[in-house]
Amino acid sequence: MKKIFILAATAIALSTACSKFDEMSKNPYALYDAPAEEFVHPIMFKTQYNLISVFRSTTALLMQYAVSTNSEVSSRVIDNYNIPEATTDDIWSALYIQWGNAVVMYEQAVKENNEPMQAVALILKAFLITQITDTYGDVPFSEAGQLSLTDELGSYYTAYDSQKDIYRAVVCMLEDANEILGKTEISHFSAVCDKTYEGSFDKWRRFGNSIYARVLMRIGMKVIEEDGGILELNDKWGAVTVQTKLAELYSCFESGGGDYPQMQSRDDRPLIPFSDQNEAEHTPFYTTTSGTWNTLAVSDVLCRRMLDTEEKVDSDGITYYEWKSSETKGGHQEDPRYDSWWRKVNGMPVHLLNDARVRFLDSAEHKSQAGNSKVGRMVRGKNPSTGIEEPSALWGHIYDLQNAAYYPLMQYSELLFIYAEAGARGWVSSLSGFGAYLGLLKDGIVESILEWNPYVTAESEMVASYVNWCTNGELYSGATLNSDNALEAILTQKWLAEFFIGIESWCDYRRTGYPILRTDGPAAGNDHILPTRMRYPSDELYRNPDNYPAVLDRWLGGTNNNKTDVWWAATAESARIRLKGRS
Amino acid sequence: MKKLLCILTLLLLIPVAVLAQDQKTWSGVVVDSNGDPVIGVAVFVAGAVSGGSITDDNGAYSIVAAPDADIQFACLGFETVTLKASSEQMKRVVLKDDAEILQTAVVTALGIKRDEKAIGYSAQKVDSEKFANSGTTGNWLNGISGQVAGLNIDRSSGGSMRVTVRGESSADLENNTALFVVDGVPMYNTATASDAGGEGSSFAIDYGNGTADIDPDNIESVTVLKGAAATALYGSQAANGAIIITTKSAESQDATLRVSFKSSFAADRVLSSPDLQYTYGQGSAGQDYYYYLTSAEGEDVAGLHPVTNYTTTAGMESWGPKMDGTLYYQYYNIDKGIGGHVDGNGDFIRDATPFVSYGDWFKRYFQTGLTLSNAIVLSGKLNKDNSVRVSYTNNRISGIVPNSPSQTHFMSVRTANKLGKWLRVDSSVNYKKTLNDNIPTSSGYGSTSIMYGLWCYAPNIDMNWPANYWLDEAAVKQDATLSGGKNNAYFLAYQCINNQKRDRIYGNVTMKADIAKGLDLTVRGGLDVTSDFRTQRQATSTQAKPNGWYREQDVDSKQYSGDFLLKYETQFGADFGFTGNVGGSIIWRSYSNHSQTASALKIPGVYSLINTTYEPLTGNNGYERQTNSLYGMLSFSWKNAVFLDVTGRNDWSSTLPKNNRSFFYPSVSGSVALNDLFEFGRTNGLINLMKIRASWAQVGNDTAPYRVADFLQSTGFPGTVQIPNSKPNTNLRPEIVSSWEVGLELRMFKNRFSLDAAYYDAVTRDLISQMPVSYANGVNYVYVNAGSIRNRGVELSMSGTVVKTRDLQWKLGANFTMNRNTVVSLGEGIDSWIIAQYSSHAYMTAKEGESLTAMYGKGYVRAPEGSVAIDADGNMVDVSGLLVLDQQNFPQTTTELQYLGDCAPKWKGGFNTTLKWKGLSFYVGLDGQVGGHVFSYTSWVMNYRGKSVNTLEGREGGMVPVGVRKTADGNYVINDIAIDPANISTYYHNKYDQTNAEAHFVSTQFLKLREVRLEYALPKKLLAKTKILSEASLSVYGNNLWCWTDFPAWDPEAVTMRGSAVIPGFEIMQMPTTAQFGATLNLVF
Repeated sequence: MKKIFILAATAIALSTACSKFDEMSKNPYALYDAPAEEFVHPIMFKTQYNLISVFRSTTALLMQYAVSTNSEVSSRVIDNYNIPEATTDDIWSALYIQWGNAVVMYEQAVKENNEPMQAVALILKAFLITQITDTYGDVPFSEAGQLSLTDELGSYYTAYDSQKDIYRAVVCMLEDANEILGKTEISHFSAVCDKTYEGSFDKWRRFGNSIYARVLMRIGMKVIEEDGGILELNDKWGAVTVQTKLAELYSCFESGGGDYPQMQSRDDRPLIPFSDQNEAEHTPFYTTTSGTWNTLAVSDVLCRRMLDTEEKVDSDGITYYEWKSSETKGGHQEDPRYDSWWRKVNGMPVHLLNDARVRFLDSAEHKSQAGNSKVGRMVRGKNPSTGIEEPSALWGHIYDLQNAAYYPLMQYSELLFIYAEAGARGWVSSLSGFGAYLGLLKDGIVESILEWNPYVTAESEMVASYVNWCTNGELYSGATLNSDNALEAILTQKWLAEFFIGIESWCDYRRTGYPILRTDGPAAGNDHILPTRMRYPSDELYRNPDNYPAVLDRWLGGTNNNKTDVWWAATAESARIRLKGRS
Repeated sequence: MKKLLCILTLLLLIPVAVLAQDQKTWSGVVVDSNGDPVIGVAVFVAGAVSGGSITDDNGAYSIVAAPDADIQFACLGFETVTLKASSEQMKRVVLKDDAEILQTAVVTALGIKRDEKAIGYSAQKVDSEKFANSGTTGNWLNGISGQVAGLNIDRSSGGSMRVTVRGESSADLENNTALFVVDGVPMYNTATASDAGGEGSSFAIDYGNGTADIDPDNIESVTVLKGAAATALYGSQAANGAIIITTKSAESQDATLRVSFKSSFAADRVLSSPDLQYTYGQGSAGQDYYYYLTSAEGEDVAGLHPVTNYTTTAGMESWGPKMDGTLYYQYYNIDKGIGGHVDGNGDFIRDATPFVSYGDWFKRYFQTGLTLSNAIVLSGKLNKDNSVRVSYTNNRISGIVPNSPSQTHFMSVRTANKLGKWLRVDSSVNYKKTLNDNIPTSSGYGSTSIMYGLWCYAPNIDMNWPANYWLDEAAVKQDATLSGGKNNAYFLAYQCINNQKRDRIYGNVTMKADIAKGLDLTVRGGLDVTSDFRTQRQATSTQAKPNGWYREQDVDSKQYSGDFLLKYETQFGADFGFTGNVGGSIIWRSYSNHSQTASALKIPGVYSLINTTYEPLTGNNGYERQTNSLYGMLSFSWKNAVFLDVTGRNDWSSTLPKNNRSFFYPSVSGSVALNDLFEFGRTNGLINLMKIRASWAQVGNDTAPYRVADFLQSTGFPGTVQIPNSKPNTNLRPEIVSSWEVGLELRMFKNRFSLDAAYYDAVTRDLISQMPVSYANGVNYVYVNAGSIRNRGVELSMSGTVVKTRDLQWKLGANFTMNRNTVVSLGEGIDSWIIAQYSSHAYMTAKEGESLTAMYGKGYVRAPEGSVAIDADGNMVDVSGLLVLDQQNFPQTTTELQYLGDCAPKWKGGFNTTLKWKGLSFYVGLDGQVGGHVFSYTSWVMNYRGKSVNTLEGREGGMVPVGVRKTADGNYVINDIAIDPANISTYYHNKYDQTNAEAHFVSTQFLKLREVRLEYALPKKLLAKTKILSEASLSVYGNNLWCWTDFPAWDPEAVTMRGSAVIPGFEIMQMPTTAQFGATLNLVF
């Protein structure tokens, strides 16, 4: 009896319990569906979080804005082209995750039949994949992120696409996005989901087309050399001629609208807000101690472009540059951005061997009155634990690089430099005169200064003085600015303006060879080649086994090196100019 | 639950009546099985607290007792006999040598007791005496170390343990641990670590794991069920073996009331030191001075840096000046008068003091850990039907890290009751309260880890200096100067406090009804509820949380389980036996973790969620899951010598997708007791048991919740979402372990020698794994069923009694385990698979045909096979395999990953011996392993930072690195250029680069002196005189006394807790291992 009773009870319990299984299998702490717009801000924030982190850890050193003086790591660090694996992986591991989100977002927008959100997703995708391919070269693209869209999990491997094919697709994505947003009638999506543009589709369209200008400039030299400037696209868009398209974009830029509206002023630049008041919005440097923060010293390469310096040789025979005394400086004042970036005005030479580096920091010549090394360190805000403002020169720093309230993903000045370069290269007929692109160059310098120093205006004496110095000084290959060294001037100034903008200046260097950087100092490695790409993460060998060896063989000669040029950088002109850095 | 408690209370209150009867004197002799008199046998009335006698030289005794009293005859080395006073046998009592008695009953799955010879699989029993010392160590599992063949325990520094049986059976390392079952109910041991506040998973606060919630004093016996056949009835959770724990009950005791008291004391001390160098102090290469903070104007003293106002802080690396007693301006503290004196004007003047070594700073930092444990047990056999056992244990521990006290209270009540002739009800309730005042983040690579801080110090620091951890009087800024800006290790211990208040109740009620002849029904209900409140603090000025940080966490878990088992037993004719079991179970579990975090504190040092500068952040996660099962077992026997079992089980799991929720798996096992079928000389005691066994079984295994449907998760920004890092899989199937094993059990020479040998071969198919995939997929991992892993191995256990006389016994025991793991396949289109990794430094990677625990990483660039160079004498020499140095003569690290070796040992073994002389016994246990490797981050830090003796060469005068250089034309030249002493740190930085896994892949081969124990039990004769005491023993012991190993850090067995798991193969800045010395007093009244 009892047995029957218990069995029956168990059977009932089992059957009721089973019916609850479906309910139980849903995670109460997760969402199973959300509108496409909810993906926007996390993608923007996390992408920028990574890019500013990469700038400080890698671009700043490779591109000789700074030199690492970390006593715990050797002289063979990033500044000397010995790039640790974790740094190599940074963009790959962070941006592909955002790529995955953008892919899912796009599909969601398709499901919702929400065209403008599809366009925003396309802009995000275009931005993300260009950052990834610009870093590594050929990368997974057409198969990348597709896993998230399917339930039928077959292959987990993603084939690598050639960079040229990726750029073909990127141009199409940006054209599509511009087309969709051009006919979009509603003006906004939820501002909660977009802390950059507060959901303004117009600003998204301007951002997308600004990326388009960057993309065209990125591939221009290569497409002209390889295919006479014509890039084949898809059935819908046919082909694009780089120079023609840039000219079209420039006319829209000039008019402030047209078919390809772009950023019209600094107000349109994509700013990503950060906050030290909320753990989710901390910068990647929030927890960096002053000791670690101070391991970046300003390089004398940068100092020489921002300050009027003179060459000196110290007692150990190391050549370095010191800010001229007020008497010898003439009328020139320092770069108005300098105090927003660095405190103390002495640069550190690049590529020093460890013993020389230690001597350089320690010897009497490089000590200030207070006993500290005179080498400039990156500006850091007030120490949150003590509330003490750290020392700053002249005006007091106005920008807390460590915990800024926002960082731009792209700057307005970049467009001015892009068109100045297009003019100097003769790609845009309306800009072919020296005066025409010189104006854009000067505007670019001013816009960049205003980005960093709110205490000056375009009319300030200090700004005028600096612009005057860097357009009339013998700064570019030892000559004053003329049409022969205009490209060097434009790209050197663009390099300065790209401070804290991800990998942009590194891309420009690889593409053009400017600014001219010495790459064969005593400690420089990598056969005296400034790394042309980041190595693929070595665990791709196990994570993506078939495709990884294939891609190494396809364009890297079988080794995951950082000496092979990515597609758009492999031009004769770029190679020739980069060689100038090996004296 | 309420009902359960009610029943329990009632049972406790059942009154007992003891009736007095007429007393009479009884007498006789006691002899052994050969008829010889046995001297010194304790004869006493069962349950009496006084009286009793001892047999004399002729074995004669006399005792006063009532006619129906139970008289017991007890003597060491003999089976205890109980007789009615009035019975005939009282005249001549025969005591059996206890070695002749077979320990026949073994508790198997679902609490079914089986005759040992009827079992067709490997089940190893461990007696409670093995845990005798472990009451004072963090986890009783220490007691099993080296005792059981096939069992492997990975430890974290903080006390968490990861128990695996017969190798890694699944690619999901967190899924490979054994199931713990207490009195028939599975324990619910949830993930127990907390991340230390957003610094990734390279370190964690280790809250210990749930297995420590068993009071070792309550353990009667432990059976380790190893193969799938053994656990087929337990189903998915036991796919990796099960550890079956039976707790003590008062039922079998003889006395009416027994009170026992146990008190232990233990001290832990750091056992050893790595090979640290004590020659050079902190600083950079080429610096021949040391100066702490800023020098005063115009000072000009020997040892002072020539530049006045020179500032330095002690760096975390040790490439500095020689600690030869040169006078330098070192650490100073005005308040404590360290490093200076007060002059006539009352001003503090710094003094230059000798720069010397203060020795191993780890030993100076870690204190002696103390453990005090008191346990009291009341057990009463109220009458022959009802018994109750109540125990209370209190442990107070202060760990080796300063300021890490904790205490636990453990209570348990176990009752056994017969309610009428056909029904019995047993219950057990255990309650444990854990109060941890501070669980330091002891090990791991992360700024709040104690070891991370300690590895910045050097021998030139007197550890009393950093012990003054506040820089300012207001106590808001720590003094991290001596650790090169990293968190001060004392500051971490005293100010970054993690505390825990945890309550756990688990228990069960079992009802067993004899329904008809041969038919009985067992119904059991169990519960296991844990409520855990944790707080974590980071004081202002910590590196990661400069504004202070505070988190409160509620971690709750619940398990309700119910099962029934209907058993029918019958005989067919004289020779055939049949037993059928049918059963079912439901296990429901829920887990939740709710946290609130103040990410910056308004007032420093005040830890409350109210004292937050910004809105507190909340974090919630949890799950609910259920498994329903039906199962059955048919057992056949013939002549009580041939046995066959067939089992089947079907599970329904809520964690699998609808279509794959139900899965069935069978097993067959059999055994033959050859000695019962054939004459092997049993009569003359040559062979007492010769059993062969064989089994084949499958066990299904489900997965963790919420892996089967795509979902979106929160991002930290309200109103937004993101996809998770791991892609769910709507088509997951259960993984199936199929295994077979054969074994032999042998007992010989009157049971004085026994041997158990097993060979097994298990294949796990359809592995459910979180497979790492290219980031280009937009996710890091995908849940998949893919591939199969095979574990094969041999296990041997032996024990023998070498000497056995009445007073003297000498026993030896040994075990041996060898497991070979092979990845049979990884599924279609999958060639390799990262099982675990540490940063991008080292990868445990599975490849087809190789071991699951194979390690890969970058290594040194070496000259390829067949490379030649011209030496100084102009001869061609073979330089293949030599390091290829770069332009600066530094070793280089490859860019591609390569095979480094296997983490798993070739074999493991244990050996122990016991010597007993009268009441005195002496035990020594050793165990170790041959082969085995680990990627060691301790190796990195000690070499990279110049702390190890490996970094001494070339500091003065430089050195010529052995290796070759490649010339521009591609030829090799043998290096003859010396490294300048100023660049020696860079040389070692390159030699011991953190990405060079080859440089830090070290051997974990070891032999440990696990335990030495001396115990003295007072003779019964003596105790009888006290009239109160019935047993008294005192033991002193030492655990983990010595370790022979080449492992560079402290403990080759210890791995690091990462995230919520203990991951083998990676040692990430472990804590020192300790030797424990203790004493235990045990009294039974």
